[in-house]
Amino acid sequence: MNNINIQSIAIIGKQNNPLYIKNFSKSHPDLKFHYIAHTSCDVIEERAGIAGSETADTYLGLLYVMEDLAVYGYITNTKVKFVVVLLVPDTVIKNTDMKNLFKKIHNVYINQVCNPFYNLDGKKSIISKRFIASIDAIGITSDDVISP
Amino acid sequence: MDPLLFTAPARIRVLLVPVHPIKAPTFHRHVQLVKNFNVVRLGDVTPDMRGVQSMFSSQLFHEGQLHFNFVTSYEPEHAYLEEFQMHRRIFGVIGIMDCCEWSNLKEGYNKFSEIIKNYRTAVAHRCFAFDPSEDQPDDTKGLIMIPNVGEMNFYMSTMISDFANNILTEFGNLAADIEKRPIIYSPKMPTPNSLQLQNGTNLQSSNGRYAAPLQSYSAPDLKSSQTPPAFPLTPPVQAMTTAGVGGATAGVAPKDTYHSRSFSSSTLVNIATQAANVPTDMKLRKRAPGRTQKLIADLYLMAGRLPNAVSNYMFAIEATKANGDYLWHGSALEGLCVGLLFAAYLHTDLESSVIQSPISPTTTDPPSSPELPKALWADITDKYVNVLTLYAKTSSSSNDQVPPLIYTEACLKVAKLLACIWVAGGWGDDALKLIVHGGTPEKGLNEKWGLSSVSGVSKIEVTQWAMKGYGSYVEDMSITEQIHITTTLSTIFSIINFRRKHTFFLRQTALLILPLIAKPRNSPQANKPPTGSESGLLTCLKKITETYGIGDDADKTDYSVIVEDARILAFGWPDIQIDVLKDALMISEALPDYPSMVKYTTRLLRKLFMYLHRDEQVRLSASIPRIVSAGKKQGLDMEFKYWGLNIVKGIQVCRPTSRRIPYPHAGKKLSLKNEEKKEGVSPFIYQSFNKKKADNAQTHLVANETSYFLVTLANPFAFDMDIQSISVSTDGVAFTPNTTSITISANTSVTLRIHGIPTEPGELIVRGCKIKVHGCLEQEFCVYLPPSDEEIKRKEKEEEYNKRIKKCGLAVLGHSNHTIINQKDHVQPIEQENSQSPTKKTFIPEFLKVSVIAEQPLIKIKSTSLMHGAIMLFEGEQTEMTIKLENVGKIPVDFLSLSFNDSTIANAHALLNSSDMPAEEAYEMELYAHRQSVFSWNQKDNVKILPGSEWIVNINVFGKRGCVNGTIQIDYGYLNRPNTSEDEPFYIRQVHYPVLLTIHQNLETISMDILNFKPLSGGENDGVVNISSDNNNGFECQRNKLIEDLLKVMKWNNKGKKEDFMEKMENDYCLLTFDIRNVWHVGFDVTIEADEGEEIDPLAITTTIQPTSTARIILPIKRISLSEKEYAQPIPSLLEKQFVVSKGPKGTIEQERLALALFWYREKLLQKIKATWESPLTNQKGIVDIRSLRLNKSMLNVLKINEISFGIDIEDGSKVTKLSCNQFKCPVNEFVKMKFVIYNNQEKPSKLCIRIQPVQSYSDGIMEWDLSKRMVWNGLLQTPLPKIEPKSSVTYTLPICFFSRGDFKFLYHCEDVYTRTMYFDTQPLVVEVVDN
Repeated sequence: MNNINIQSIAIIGKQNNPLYIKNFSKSHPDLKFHYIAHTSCDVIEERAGIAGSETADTYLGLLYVMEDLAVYGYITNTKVKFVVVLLVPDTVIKNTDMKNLFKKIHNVYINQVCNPFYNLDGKKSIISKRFIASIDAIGITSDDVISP
Repeated sequence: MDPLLFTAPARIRVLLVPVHPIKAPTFHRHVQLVKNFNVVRLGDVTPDMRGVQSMFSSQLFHEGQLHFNFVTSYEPEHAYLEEFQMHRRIFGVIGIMDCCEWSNLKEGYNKFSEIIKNYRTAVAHRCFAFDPSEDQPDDTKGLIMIPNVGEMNFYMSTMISDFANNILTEFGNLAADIEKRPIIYSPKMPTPNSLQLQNGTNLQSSNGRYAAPLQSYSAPDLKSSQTPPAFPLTPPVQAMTTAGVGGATAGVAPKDTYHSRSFSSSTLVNIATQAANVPTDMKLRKRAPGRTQKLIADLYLMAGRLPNAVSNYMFAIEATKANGDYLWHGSALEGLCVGLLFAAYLHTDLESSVIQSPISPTTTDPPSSPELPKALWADITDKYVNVLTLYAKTSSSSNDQVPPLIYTEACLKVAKLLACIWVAGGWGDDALKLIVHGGTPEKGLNEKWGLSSVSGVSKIEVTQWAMKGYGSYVEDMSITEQIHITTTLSTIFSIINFRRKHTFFLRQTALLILPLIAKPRNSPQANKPPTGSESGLLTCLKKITETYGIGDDADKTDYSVIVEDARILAFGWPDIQIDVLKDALMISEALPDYPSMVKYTTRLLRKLFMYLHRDEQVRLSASIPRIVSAGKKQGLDMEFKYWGLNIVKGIQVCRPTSRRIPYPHAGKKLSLKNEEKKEGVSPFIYQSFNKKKADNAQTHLVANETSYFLVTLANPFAFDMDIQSISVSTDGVAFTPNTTSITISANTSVTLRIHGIPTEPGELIVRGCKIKVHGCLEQEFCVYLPPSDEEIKRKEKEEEYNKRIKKCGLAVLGHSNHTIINQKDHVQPIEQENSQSPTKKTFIPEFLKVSVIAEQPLIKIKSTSLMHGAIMLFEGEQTEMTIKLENVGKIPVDFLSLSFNDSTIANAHALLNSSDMPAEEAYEMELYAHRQSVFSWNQKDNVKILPGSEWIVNINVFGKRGCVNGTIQIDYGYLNRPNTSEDEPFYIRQVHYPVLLTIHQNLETISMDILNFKPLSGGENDGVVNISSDNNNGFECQRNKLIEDLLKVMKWNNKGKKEDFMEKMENDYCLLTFDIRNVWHVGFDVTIEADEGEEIDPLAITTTIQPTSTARIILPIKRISLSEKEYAQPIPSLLEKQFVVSKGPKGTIEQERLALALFWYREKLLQKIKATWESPLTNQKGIVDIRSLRLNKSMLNVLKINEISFGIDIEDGSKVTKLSCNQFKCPVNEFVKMKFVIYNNQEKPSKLCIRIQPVQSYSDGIMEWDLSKRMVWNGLLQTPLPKIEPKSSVTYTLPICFFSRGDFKFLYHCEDVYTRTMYFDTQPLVVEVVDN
């Protein structure tokens, strides 16, 4: 777990619209992760298409590596996509760790969806403070583990 | 040719160079021609004359093909790899010469000879001279003349075959050289320092030079990534590369720097010395044979000798593997793959000879397994996995490190290979063809059956391979290489339809190119059409923006037309969109391409302004004029449409000022009738029709008069919008608009009044506004109806549906793309319809329809007789005022109608409607409100006011109590126009003149009474009066005096004779008295007139009433007889209003009857009397209001003549004296005949019964009823009377004898035998019985 260095967490809606993109990295600009999340849509859609026929696993694993960044994907049953960008680590990342991480994000998202005032089909990005705080917590804890 | 073609290692690179002077188009034409001959069958190669010594060419027939890679540019910086991968080397140079440009071909050939000195790696060269003229001799040695007539193809192929032979021969020499070499070094990247230095010098030396190679990458790759029809043919830019555009010789010189590095032993030495850690010679020597094998295999591959190549590769693999020479091992594997692929392409059976040969038992390749042989591609990918592992291993060694380029290219090659297989729908000839020849795969085919299960290749696999080639080390590569990689990546992703990734890399490419094309601003760049690379870049931008949802489609929809919509963005991520557009802007700025700069700026503003900061918006908007002017300086047509959102929010016709409003009338005749009717009041309290008319009051415009429109403009942006001109745009009748200009401040809306003149009558359609926003073209803006709820629902539904069938978002792009490709002609029009119809349906322009009516006259009130529009009157005063009108219009007025209104009417109505007053009061109120009008007017016919002339109207004014103001309304128009029919509707205009009124009360009438005359009359004419007793005399005197006094008081001015008066008294008259009080401080002369009708002259009394004094008016009035029919009718109402059940307390029937009688008798009375006043000092005249007088029951009894009246007389004997009416003096003990005359005043006969009851009354008030001892009578005291005819009488005579003295009273009445109505006399009969 402590080799996971989260650079960014992105939540993408079922229409491939951005719901929330958070940058945890200090070196990369926000926009870079926007682009990464956007381009991930292609791969996720492809993967999900295959996954749908064979295994119903929501965890899509490593999508691709770009430069020094590894992009992991996860898709919920309602086609909401989570994208986590990590720094390419020196050691192998266990899929279970990633799955746990995505599970956490998924839980946070479920909490958000349970809010009766949240418009599920809306194209606006999520602005709930609780949601943002929870995502931040996920991103920063892993960061804290690595920093010392 | 695609540099990352999988089969590139099997191609012989030949550079085509222009022999200047040659025109660029000519050159390209010839290049294309030559490129047609890039495949030469080995059998066609001219046999080698030198015999067996050659390794690569032989007289033996060989299956196979030779592939040329004709290039016009190459990568000099990759020279260090030429030793490692032979195919990177330029083996041949073909000069292309245009004979038309050269008179002496010899000179031209010399020049070519000069050129080829620059390319030392080239082992063969030819110079093709095209289009020779007749007179040019074909005598120059070495120069090959290509005629433009005859069997050109044959000739060319022969030439190329010859050339191929030449090269193959040289290959042999080359191979021999290689074999002799003891040590073969690995490629070594030039150290970063030296590379940068070179780059630096390159940049400085010449723009054209540097730009060239990268263009060679960008342009063709773009081409492959585009859908073919959309992409303009990019003219090859290599003309610049190899020779430059301008200079004929200039282009050649700088090349030396590169080619000195090319292929020579010196390079190798250089590299060797540069290497820091040189492995021991021994080790290198050991490795040499393997490497040699590999290089020779490379040559075999290029020579098309596949079996030889494969076997050599096998040897090389063995050797390098044994040595742990990973780099060369990998490279050999790569070569092997190419060889196998080619073999598969040519259907050469190598399997048996090579793959399954026991030569490669060491490799654990799957093909060697006895199981079903894997497909070749799978084998290749497996091999490449191996290759990459090998390459990765080299990273640990210091000197044999794999150049990143090689690594990346390996990844990309595989990715592309897989992509090609995927797109071709599986492994097969189609795929092979694509792989071998490159080119653009036809998109769309894959969509149907491009499932991974069919093709065997998944997109993910492709992605993985591709992304492997884009590691972090890419950043360290030279910019050219990076561009190279990104373009290839974008191509790959384009092939497998990963649009987002494709675009991402396309953008990356554009950004990489950007610094290279940045040109110094001041460079004179007059009127140059965009070169190929520029237009390629622009297309690239277009592509990028499309994928991000902000493509040119966005511009197609005319946004001035579309209502501002919350859902502007069809899809996409605003943050990225902003960034992409900014990039696009930056790139087009660097080019500089002004139209696209404008395009992207405006798009950014329009679509994403809500996400942009205010300053940003201001900056962008400010840049537009700058760009436009810069573009204009270049002579470009920089006119463009307004780009923003619709700024016109609403438009409406401004109602003209009240005096200009024309009011419609149905027709001339009708209108006049209506005018009269206006006086009458409808019987309904609530008139729904009237109300509606008032609401619907349509605004009409008048021809040739300025009309005003209110336009609401909104600026959604954060900068001020400068509108240079705005005017109403209309349809229909002629209209002369007036333009104006305005600045709308940021984020505000303004309402503007703009005007224009319709010049003819008819219907004017106001379409909207013509607006010229600063810097844009003038454009029409319409107002759109907001879509109805239904429409919105429908749209949402459609959207929802589109989501499901992937007709929105990015998916629609791919969808439409391949439908268009599949069925180019059929689908497109439908698509267009589809895309246009919803917008048309949703936004219906709202056109304002206004009718323009014919010219109308215009009148103004020039002056009036009033001071400050105010007038002071006494109550009831009648005076006259004048109004002077002037026609200020252009046409005459022939119709004039006045109507009036005053403050009292409304009040009275309010009072009438609100309170529940008794009917007689209500009648009084109504009378007050409507019968007395403050203003009145005597209509005159033949009104004609010519333009400019004046007209005077006289108006009577009446001082009505309680009135404080009034309005005179003058309706006018021009009716009798020439050429108009009677029924045509016409219009009138109105002028209003308000008048302030002050009404002073001067006189009031109070305390009315009506007195009976009767007691005064009687006995006068008797002589008895004079000789009567004292008592009598005194009484007489008293009475006479009374009459005299009365006369005096009455001021009977004209016929003030006592006799007249007495006569009147006899004739059923009564006296009306009331007081008139003067409450003003000036005296008034008051004249009261009593008009009795027909024969009798009216009576008139005039008296002067001094200030604050009261005068009593006494007036003899004939008593009034009204039939029951008359006085029992209900009280009328002047307003024909709806019947409302009276809510007031209801009296008994008698009370009701009395009230009615009082009302009707009063009406009758008031009709008779007229009272006027006059002020002698001021000459004012008026009437006195006598309606304030009220009757009561006792007055009524006096006033009215009963239906049945009585007359009493006592006859017989002179001794009986009539004292007065019903008072007699009668002697005792004598029979007298008492006559009762009963008159029937009714219109009908009546049957009555009379009852008489005599009583004796004492002075103390006691009545004695039993009179049998005091009097006797002969007859009945109670008896029916004969029937009395109308207006006639009967007399009932009762002989009586009184026995006793004293006062006797006779009480009597009649009773109707049918109705039981009792009729009484006004007074009882009193008989004074005296002694004789």
